[in-house]
Amino acid sequence: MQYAKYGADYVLRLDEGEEVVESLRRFLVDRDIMAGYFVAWGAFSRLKLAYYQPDVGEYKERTFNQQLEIASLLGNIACLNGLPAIHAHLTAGDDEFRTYSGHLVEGTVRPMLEVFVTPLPGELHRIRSARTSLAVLEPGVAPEVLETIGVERCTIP
Amino acid sequence: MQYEQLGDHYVVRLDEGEEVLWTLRRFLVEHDILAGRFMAWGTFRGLRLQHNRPVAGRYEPRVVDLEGPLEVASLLGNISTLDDEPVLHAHVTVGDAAWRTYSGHLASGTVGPTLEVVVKVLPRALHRFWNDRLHVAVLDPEEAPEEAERLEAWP
Repeated sequence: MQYAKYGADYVLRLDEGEEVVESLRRFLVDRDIMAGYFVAWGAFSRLKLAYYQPDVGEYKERTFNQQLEIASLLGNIACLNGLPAIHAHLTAGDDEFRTYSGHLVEGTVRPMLEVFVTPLPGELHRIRSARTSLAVLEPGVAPEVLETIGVERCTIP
Repeated sequence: MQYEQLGDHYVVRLDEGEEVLWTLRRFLVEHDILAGRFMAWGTFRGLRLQHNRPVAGRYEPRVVDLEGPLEVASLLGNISTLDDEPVLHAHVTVGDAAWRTYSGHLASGTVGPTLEVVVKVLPRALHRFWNDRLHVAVLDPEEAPEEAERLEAWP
């Protein structure tokens, strides 16, 4: 992975064989980015997608072991259990131009992935819901409330 | 709905049963947001997509109602004003349980369980004007008065 800062944004390049979620998380920890969003272009040699079933409260998953071109990959960044976490959804196309869409679980880059990250100032948190098992985004919750309910906060530089 | 302002962005969470365009529009009115762009992540219980068909030089909307749950693969929108009221223009791709995708102009959508929206606010109003011939509200970006003057003075 290689990256640089351009104004308020970061431009990253991930290379062949890198796992996207893990690499991005490492970058966010390195740069202390705890809130923001990103857009990406590139391709995967292997991709695991998930589809949330609200009535069951569970994700269903599928792994694609084939070369897929990213048509759209959008993600956001918030703090979960004291560490930055990404939430990304994507559409990818196969060699017959069919598309598959869902929640990004894992993706192995081939040959490259270009990512533009926009960090946001301040804190953004997720709290795991016991009922739905989802890590629910909680914008606008005051820091003292977070402490009262025992939420581990990300350290802001 | 729950939100937080982070610099020139707002992060908004919509909840079960909320209609996305109505709820966001109310939010924009309350915060006096007249220009911007947004992207969103989440799930819809139900979704109405629109496809505009060119018929004799104008555009006729055709809608389709999809039953969820549908995972939002991409939801990108812009914010402008029409007759001084904020309006949203959003296009969406969703995926179903069989990983099939559907795409189009977002006509309406019922959230379930959540939709996370990141709104970037632009610093001054952006207008649309209704074009009767095309049957479309046309975006009309204009330079700020001081910028227009500067460009005018350009040799």
